[in-house]
Amino acid sequence: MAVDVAELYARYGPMVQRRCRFLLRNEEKAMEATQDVFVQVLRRADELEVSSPSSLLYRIATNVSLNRIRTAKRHPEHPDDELLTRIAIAGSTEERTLASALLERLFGAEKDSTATIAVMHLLDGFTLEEVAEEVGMSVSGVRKRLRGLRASLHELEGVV
Amino acid sequence: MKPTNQSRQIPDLWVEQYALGELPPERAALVEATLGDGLQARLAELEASDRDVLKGVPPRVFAARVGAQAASARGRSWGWALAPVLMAAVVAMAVLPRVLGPEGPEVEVTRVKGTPMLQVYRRTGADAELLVDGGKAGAGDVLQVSYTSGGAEFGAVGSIDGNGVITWHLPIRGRSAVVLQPGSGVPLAESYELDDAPDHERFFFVTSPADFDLAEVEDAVRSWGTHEDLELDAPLRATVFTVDKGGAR
Repeated sequence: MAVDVAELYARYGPMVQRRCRFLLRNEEKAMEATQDVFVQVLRRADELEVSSPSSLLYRIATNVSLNRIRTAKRHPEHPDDELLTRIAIAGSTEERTLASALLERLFGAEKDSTATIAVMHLLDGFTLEEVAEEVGMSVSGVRKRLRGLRASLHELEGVV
Repeated sequence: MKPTNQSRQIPDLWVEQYALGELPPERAALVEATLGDGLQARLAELEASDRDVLKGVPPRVFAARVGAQAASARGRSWGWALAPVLMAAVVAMAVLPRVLGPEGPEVEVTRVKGTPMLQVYRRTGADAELLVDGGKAGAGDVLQVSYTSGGAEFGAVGSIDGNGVITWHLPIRGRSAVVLQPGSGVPLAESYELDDAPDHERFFFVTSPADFDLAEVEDAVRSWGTHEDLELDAPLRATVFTVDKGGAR
């Protein structure tokens, strides 16, 4: 599938930018992350298989942002940031890399990152069933992934 | 419309998808029932935010940046392996095809009509600076060129330096135009290092609805002189971009 970045950005760019800004709490970093999201889409354009990619772009944005948080290992500046940072770091130990895991899912391979799943459930308000539907997994599979984070994330206790 | 269901958090994604018209009806009804009168306010916020984001970084500018970043990343991944070969070539060539990568695969697409454009970036470390037409760059600067086909099916990108030397950047080999990729900010597979030829490097992007021979263009380019426009016989059309080599570095 050929990707017209300008058209895709005109329709979905603001959504992606808002998602990155929500997670990164920084306008400039959010714009950089937004660019990263579309670079990843462009580089894998020939493998992109979807026609209405809002969910997929949203999850790439989540993943890219978490990756940046994990890389920066910055000190939390917002109440939610500490949880985000810990999810990002803990999630990275669960899988090879956050970005590659989500991209694999996006472009027809296997699974979303555990960190992305955790953010969707803990911060975004998706139920386990809705997360499962979004990422194409079983509910028990989602539960299993989140249990994998439990040892690292005190915040998950009693939530999952 | 009053809120009737405050029992659950509505994910922001659903509101985004509602605004995009991509939320399934059942879920859209849940969003309406849960957010009630607040939904219109949320949608108005998104609309205002959309405008701000797209005004801050317009789609064409964003696409060009993405194209340059993608090309830059590709360059970094190839650069080390090719460095010895490239260093030898730097000496010999006026404008060096520097970073190798395959041309994009052929794809079936719907072409959207528009204006053919060239975007030229100057590499600055790991980043790229978008040059304006007439912007400055100097010997040793690495430039990445992207094009927007504007719906044209065939095209070629070349440049002429201050010594009158013409270099073809697309295609690098062959004497015929190539089938252009659709979309905005399509990066050329190779970036270019400017040599010390004087005055300027003038890039030209020739487009056409039909295939053409590069020789048809070269005579016009040689007689281009200092004119602003590059005049070509129809149906050929030229878009030009000048890089001023008046000591930018």
